Formats: sequence, structure tokens, C-alpha cells
Amino acid sequence: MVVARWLGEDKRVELRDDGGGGPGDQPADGVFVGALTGPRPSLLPLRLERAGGGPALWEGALRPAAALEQLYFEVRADHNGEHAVLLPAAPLGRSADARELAWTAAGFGWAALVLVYALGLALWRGR
Amino acid sequence: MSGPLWAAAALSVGQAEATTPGAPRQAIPNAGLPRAETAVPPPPEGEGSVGMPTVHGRLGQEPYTDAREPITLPALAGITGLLVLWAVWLVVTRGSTALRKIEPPPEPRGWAILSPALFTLLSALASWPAAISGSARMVGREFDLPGTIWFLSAAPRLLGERVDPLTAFPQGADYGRADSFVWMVTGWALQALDPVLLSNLAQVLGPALSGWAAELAARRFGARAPWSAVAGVGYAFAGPTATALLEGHTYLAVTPFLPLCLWSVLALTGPEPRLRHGLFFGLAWAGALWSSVYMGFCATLIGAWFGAPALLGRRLVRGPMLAAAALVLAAGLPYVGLFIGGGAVLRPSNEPLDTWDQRLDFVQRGSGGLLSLLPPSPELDTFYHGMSLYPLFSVAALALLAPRVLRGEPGTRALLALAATAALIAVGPLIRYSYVGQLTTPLALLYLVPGAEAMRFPMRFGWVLCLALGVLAARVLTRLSKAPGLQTAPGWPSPLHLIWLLLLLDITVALGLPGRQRWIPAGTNGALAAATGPIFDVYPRLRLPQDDLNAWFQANDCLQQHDHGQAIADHCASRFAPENPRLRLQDELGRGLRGGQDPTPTLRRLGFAHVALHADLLADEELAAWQAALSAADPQPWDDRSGGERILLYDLAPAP
Repeated sequence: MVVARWLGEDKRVELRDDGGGGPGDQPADGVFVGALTGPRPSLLPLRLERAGGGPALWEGALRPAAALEQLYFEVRADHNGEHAVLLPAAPLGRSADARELAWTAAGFGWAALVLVYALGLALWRGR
Repeated sequence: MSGPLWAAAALSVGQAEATTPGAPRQAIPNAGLPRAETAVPPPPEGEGSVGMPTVHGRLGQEPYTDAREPITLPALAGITGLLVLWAVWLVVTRGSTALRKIEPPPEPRGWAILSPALFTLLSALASWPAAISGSARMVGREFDLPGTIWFLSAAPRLLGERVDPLTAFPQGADYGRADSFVWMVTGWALQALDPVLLSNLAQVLGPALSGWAAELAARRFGARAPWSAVAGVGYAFAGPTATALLEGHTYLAVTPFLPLCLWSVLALTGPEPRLRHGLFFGLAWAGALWSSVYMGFCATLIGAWFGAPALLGRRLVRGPMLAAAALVLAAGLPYVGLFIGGGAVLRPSNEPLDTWDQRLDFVQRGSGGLLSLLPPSPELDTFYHGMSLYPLFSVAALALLAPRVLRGEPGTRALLALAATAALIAVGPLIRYSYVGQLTTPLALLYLVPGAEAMRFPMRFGWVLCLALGVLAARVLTRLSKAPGLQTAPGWPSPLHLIWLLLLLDITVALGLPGRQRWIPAGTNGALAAATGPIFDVYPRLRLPQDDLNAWFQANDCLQQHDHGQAIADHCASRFAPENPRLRLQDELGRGLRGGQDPTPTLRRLGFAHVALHADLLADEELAAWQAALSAADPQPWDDRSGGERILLYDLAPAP
């Protein structure tokens, strides 16, 4: 369950593991997704909690800076109990977006291309 | 959610007008989460944590823990030895003697117009959507952006009176220790323009101007057009510029002064120095210093790097040298006076910095680290303020060819050594190469001195790194363009022109501009716009070593002041939350409120006319407590939900 206070109104959305997260998201794969929409707020307080209640797993505030913001959380358990952490991007694996992997691969491929190009020029120069 | 531990939860948050569900997933602005290396302390005893959200979520695995190897005396001895070797190498590699042989090449016809035009186009692309945002949208993703724009709006009155009565009300705020006086003068000179529009224009024109200046410096070093433009791209469209644009430190994207320092110090140490070269160096150095103290440090490094060997070798001509020195003193001494007298707090009061390793940890947060030399990742934008040193791999690869391609050419070793030195400073006093392993760099010695941690952003020396690499790359291409094996038939372009495509891909794909950029609508809440006197804003009181959310609240208040024009309690240049007077006053009033005291008489005595409750952010209990306390003064507050948040504005009219 995600609770947000959106311009004075409390909005709640239950996250579901029903494969509704787009390509790559399968039912019962452990990835729960949900969506909130509304007029653009300047700051959006959010709280992630279990549907049955209990202490919050994560609390924070989002400063929306794009028309569509996507947040990824990973829920973990340790000696302090359960808590959720915010991830910078979708975790690798079944829920990973192919385009995100392509971004990283493009970066490394690009670096390799430049290096090969530079070495080639150097070798040509040295002939 | 129910059941056993789940792997991940994905949540999409969008506006009603959001378009396709398949929009690219990008990193989210991290408003309010502590940095990975900072532990979240519990609230002080007896005070409780006020407000919602109380950010206590941890970021899972903290990368740096108490298991780090301690810094010991043998390490210090090793650092000292390294520093001595470094100094010896610098003396050995001084190349200013050879610089006297460089003859700048002539400029092709039309290049004086074509070059700035191309840089402007590239800058418009890299800073997109600043070029089309006008005054309706602020382009940037960090809390520095609203504060920087506020500075432009307040500049006309700050130049008149150093102590501003409209902020840090009622005592006023001293802005003598402003980050950028050039930015302040710009705001004053162009006060007819909306500050949001001015900020967006600076994002487009600033990198273009910086790139053009770097190209001038490269031609001084012997690079020929069009290859000299690579220096401009490598300097003005790399990691440091991206950081400035994303953070919202727009004035740091306007950096022509460093290349102009380089250009003029080369002329000053060249075969025919003129008085104007010395004057120009002094003016460029002053421009750098008054843009930002870190630009001043960078300009000093550049000047000393090429000027000191010439001075020691008695090769500087007296007239131009004295002219440069006079201007440096004339610009530097008043700056030091303002710095000392400005009263700014340069270290947080809620964090111990008494020992050397505490100071190193503190400064390392403003340093690049090794990973920042690589292409930026979503993690960098989410957790590390988007701070990147990435020097464009295309440019770096070309610069690395310099020892071979430019063998024997003047200035090569000096530039390579300058780049290496700047990189070593920019990565910070600690190089963390593993989960627990770290090395101390020579820069760490500086922080043996208590107070030196005031220089807490070494990564801004990344500008010098990018400038040096850019100039080298431009010279490498110039030399390669003359290689017989790369000559083509008349009318056919050289294969070296492939570099332009590579640079474009480097900026848009590897560096990630403009894809990483975000924008925020400008505008304020209608209730604040209707206020008629000083306003006291009430936000959640977050007690975190890392002040992102507190900084956002402060920046928001300051930016909104441009619209409503009333005095506010925030100090708009306080760098740490405990030093913001609004928070100190709110703490005091909050303690009283929890003890049953009415905050209204105190606020009236201080001169506040209104209290603005940022209702979306306050916890239910806290909001109810403030509402109960203020309802006697104003039973029907103004409840407005425009401008992106819900604010309850109470009128503290004097008691009848």
C-alpha cells in the first residue's frame, strides 16, 4: 500500500503482483506495481506500508520533475525488521527494462569504440 | 501487499495528463533520503520527530562503514613522500620554456561567427528544455536551482544593502559571503528579465560562451580550426557542466574565465608579452574568483602552473607581470575581506569535525571519487546529487594519444601533468577502491588544518581537468589532420570528421544530456501571493545529517518570495539546516507547542503577519496542533491548493 498526501487529499493505492507492470512483469513474480495520477504537486509525501497496517516500510517525499515519475523499492528484512529502500532504477532480472540495460551497454560499448578508434589512429600514425 | 518478503515494488507516479505508459524509465529526484554513507540518528531526547514524512528509511547496504581502515601515521608519511615526489616531477616536467615557440594559427574566414553559433546550438541541445522554457519552467533537478534563481531576483536589493531585511526576518541576513558575485551583478543588470527566464537563458548561453573561450585557448596552444572546437566541447559539455545544469548551479555553467586565464597566461609567458596580456589575465582571474571561489582556485592553479616556472626562470616581462599581479591583488583582497566579514557558516554545527578523518569524510562527500570519472548512472542522480567528473571518453582518448602524437611539441607534458593534478584533486582526499579499502591522496594533508574543510568541493577542479584534456585533444586532431595517411581527395571530408559524431554521441548517450535533465513549474501558491506582511513558514522538522529535504524547503520559501515579495524567516544562503533561523525558531515554537504554549504572541512580537502551514507535508498530529493554536487568531485561514501544494495561511492580526 502506498499512501500519498496529494494537494490536501490522501490518496492510497494498493500495489498488486498481477503482472500489470508492463513487458517483463509476470504475475506472482514478487514485483508489486501500482500507479497514482493527479495534478502536479511541488512536493509529494509518500509512505509505503503493508496492506494490513503496521509501521511504515518507507517514508519520504518526491519532488516530481517529469510528467511520469517511476519509483522502485526493494523490501528487505534484517535484524531491525522489515524496511524498504529506494532504488535508482529497476533491479536487474525479470523486472528489468531492456532499455535500461541498453543504456548501460551503450555506455560501455561506446567507450570501447572510442578506444579502438584512438588506438587505430595511433597505430596508423606510427606506421 | 501481503505474504512473505517480496522482491520489489514498483510504483508509477504521474500527472493526469501523462501520456504513454511506456515512457522511458529514468532516475527519480531523490528528495529527502539520506546519502548512502550517512546514518540517520534518532530524534533528540524529549523532542520527538515532528512532521511527516519522517525520513528514517535506510538505503539498505551502506557502502562505507566503520570497518574502513583507519588513517594512520605511516599513511601520512607515505602521503608526504608522495607529495615531495609530485613536486619534483612538476618541476622536472615544466614546459613553459618550450611554450615560447608556439605560434597561434590564423583563423579561417567566417569561423568567428560559425564557432559561437555551433556552440550555441550544441548548448541548446545539451540544456534542453531550457531554450523553450521561458519563465514558466525552471530547468534543473536539485534544490540548488530555486535558491540560485532567488539570488537573481534578490540581486538588485542585495547590491544596495549587504544585509537583506527581507530574509532571516526579523534580524536580516548578511550575504557578504555570496557564492557568486558575478551572478549577483548579472541579476542586477538584467533585473528587467524574469529570473526564471534569465536562469534558462544562462543555461543555454553559458556553456556556449565557455566552449568558445576554451576554443580560443586551444588555438593559442596551436590547435587549428575546426579541430580547436573539440577543446570547447570537451570543456563546456562534460561532467562538470552537466553537474552544474542538473544541480541548478547555473552560474557554474558560465565559465569562460578559466580558458581565458589559460589563454592569457600563455600570452604572458610567450615570446611577445604585452601589457594587455597581463591586464587580461588579471581580469580573467578576477572574473573566475568572483564567479565562485572554486573557480578562483582553478584559475590560480592554471596561472601558477604556467606562470610560476616562467617567474622562477626570470622569463616574465616585468610590465605585464606587474599588471597581472596588481589586478589579482585588487580583486582578491576585497574578496577575502568579504569572505571573512560575511559571517557565513562553512561547517555544520550538528556534525563533529574535530579529527582529521572526520574532516576527510566530510570533504569526500563534495569530491568526485573514482566512479564519477565514468559515464553517469541513475544511482549518481538519485543518491549523489548528479555530481559527475566524466570528461567525455572521446576527448580523453584523444588526449591520451598526446604523448605519442604530440611528441616534442611544446606544452604537452605541462597539460598532461595539469590534467593529472586536477584529476587527483577532484577525486578528493580519499580514494575508496573497495568496500573497506581506501587511500589518502596528497590533498588529504590540507585537511590536517582545522577549518580547511571549508574547501569542501574539491570536485570542482574537474573544470581544469576537462579544459586540459580538451586542449590536448584539439592539438592531437590538428596534428593528425596533417598525417599523410589521412589526407583525402579534394572535396572529400577527412575521416577525422567522424569525431563530431562521436562527441555528439558522447554527450547525449554517455553523459546523458539532455535526457537526465528535469524541469519544475515556476509559480507560487495563491495564498502566499495574497499575503500582506512577513510570513513564517511551517514545514516538517527533519533531523538528518544530509539536508536535502530541509534544503528544498528553504529553497522553495526563498523562490516563492520573488512572487509574494514579503519577508520570510529563511536565510537563503544557509548551507546547513541548523544554521537556518527559520528552523531554530520553529524548534523553539514547536517545543512550546508540545508543552501547550500558544506560538502566536511570540510570532506577533517578532513582527510576523502570517503563518503558512505547508499542510501536505506536516504529520496529522502536528498539523492539528498548529491549527488549534492558530485558530484563535484566525478561525478561517486561507486554504489554497494552487502552485503545486496545499497551504493554510493564517493572519496574525493583533489581538483586539
